[in-house]
Amino acid sequence: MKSLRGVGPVQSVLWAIALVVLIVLPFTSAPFRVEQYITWMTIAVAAGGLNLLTGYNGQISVGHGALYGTGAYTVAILVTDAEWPLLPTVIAAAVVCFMVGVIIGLPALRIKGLYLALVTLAVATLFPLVIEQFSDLTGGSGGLTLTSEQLYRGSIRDRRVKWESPIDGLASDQWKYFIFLGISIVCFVVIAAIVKSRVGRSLVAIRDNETAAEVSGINVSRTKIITFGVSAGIAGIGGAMFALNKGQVNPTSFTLTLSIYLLVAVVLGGASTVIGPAIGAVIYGVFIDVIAPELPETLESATPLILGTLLVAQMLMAPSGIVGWFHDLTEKVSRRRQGGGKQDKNVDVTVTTHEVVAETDLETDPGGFHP
Amino acid sequence: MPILEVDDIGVRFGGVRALDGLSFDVDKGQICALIGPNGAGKTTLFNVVSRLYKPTTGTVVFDGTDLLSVPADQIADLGIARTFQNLALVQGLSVLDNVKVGSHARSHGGFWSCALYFPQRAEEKRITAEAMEMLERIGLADLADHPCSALPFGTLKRIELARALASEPRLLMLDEPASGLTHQEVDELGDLIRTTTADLGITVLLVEHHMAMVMSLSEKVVVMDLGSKIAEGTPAEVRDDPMVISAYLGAPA
Ligand SMILES: Nc1ncnc2c1ncn2[C@@H]1O[C@H](COP(=O)(O)OP(=O)(O)OP(=O)(O)O)[C@@H](O)[C@H]1O
Ligand SMILES: [Mg+2]
Repeated sequence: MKSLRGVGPVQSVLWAIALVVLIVLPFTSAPFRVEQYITWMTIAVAAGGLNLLTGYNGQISVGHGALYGTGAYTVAILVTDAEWPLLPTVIAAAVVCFMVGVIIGLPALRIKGLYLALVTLAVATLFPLVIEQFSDLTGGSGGLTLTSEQLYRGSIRDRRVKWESPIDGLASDQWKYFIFLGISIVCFVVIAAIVKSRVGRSLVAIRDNETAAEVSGINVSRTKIITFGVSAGIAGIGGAMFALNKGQVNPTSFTLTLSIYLLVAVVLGGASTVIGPAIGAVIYGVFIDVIAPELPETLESATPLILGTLLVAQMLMAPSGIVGWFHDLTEKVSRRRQGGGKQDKNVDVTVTTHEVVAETDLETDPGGFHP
Repeated sequence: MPILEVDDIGVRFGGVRALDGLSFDVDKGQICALIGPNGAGKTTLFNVVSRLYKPTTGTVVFDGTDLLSVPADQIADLGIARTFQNLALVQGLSVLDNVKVGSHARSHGGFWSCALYFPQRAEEKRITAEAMEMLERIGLADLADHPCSALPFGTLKRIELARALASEPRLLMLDEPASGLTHQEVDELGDLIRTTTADLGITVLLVEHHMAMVMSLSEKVVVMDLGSKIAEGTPAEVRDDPMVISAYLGAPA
């Protein structure tokens, strides 16, 4: 049983492989690919933040694209208008999005499920319109290009921001790749720390049984609101990375499609698993950026359809996402391998009780209330 | 000295008077049973003390604090824990994590502290060790990493008991802890409740239909019917009370 809690040998090997691949990748790929990898990272981070809210806390948001966009615009405005250095703007974006998230989260105290999805859907739909409305600040439909004062041919001019590599032999796209990889890893480490902590347990408790959470001393409303804020803040970091990577922002980058993309990444990779959203984001990215352009032209317009079909197939075959499916698989294998001796007792318990327990006992009437 | 004072509590659901002027006291360190036929209002009283239901009349005082002025999520901070008749477990967490949820009220650290991991490390370690100890006491250590679903009802009830104990309560409210258990398990559970609560000086309010358990465990029995108290006393006194007999048999004795 111990191996279930820690990291098993299979997992360690996979982590090591992933690390090697992540380090080697920018050296073996064309610069335009490296830019795409960075875009996937920004999506992974934002999906990781969304997962805290939707996966762990059970609050569905179809509006995280707007928060990602808010983070991107925060960075663009601070760099271009306020002349901030690049990296501190990422923190500013997180703070701004935290506050916006708390405000969007306020209605979530009264509404849940489908209704919350609809409210956040409205936020996602309105976001590009709001951006165009405040064109003085945001550049309207033309967007903003991130510029800073740079020395150019002997004079200081406003020029598009660049990522100059300070290390010999490392191209600027590779340098940028590693900076963004670092930010992404920090985000996921933070998410993992939250999830495995007492706060993480309270998120799941609120999702699965509010009564249980409340009588255990968890402040349900406060936790829900702060979760909304933290989730939004992390999505904002994703958006900030996007703006710094592309060097420009435009309202068409932050439409409803983006919000749905984020949700798909969470569900595909595995909601309420730490690394699932990252895997979902990469798979989605590979599909959109690598596979879809290779398809014959007649099929290319059908990519949303193909993606939708794949998603339905995944929901049917691996409803807990790729990571969830993998967990189930390794657990099954390790149980089978342990078979015999002491462990048998546990296995028996789980197998026989499947029939004994009426699952409805757990689901209906959780608080011991009468309807 | 009473630690819990229930005075003139009334709860209505539409036309139904679930509780109607219910009053009783529980002394510190006592095991007090609350019994009565189905629908008498026992669970409703638990829900009032947990602040899940708002009474229309009366007061509840716990160790000098007016409970009705305390929000539900601060009841655990005061040292009141409970189990549920129909279970309230967190299905998405392992058995161990469910028990650890019980220690929420006596642990610290919000999002920021948890996000940084290190400020929480020592406390997390301690809580894990204590939760494991609790599972061992209750005989479920083997299931620590098992998901908290697809287990027998009686096992789930014991996990809830472990969770309640993990909060180190001063008052423990148990709503039918013996349901779903075999005869032998009921005896074991009775011993467990007696020794654990005596060790830790916990006051117990016990709702149970299993009369042998009630009679052997409790120092005081409060009998309810139709939302009111109809008798109160030692197990022996209550057993022979004609009112009680008639309430249970449904006709005048
Ligand atoms: N949330 C509710 N809404 C409406 N009626 C309720 C609610 N909760 C309890 N009641 C009613 O209040 C009365 C008392 O119920 P309660 O659950 O407290 O009884 P009990 O003594 O716990 O019974 P049992 O031994 O069956 O658990 C019953 O008539 C019940 O139908
Ligand atoms: Mg009841």
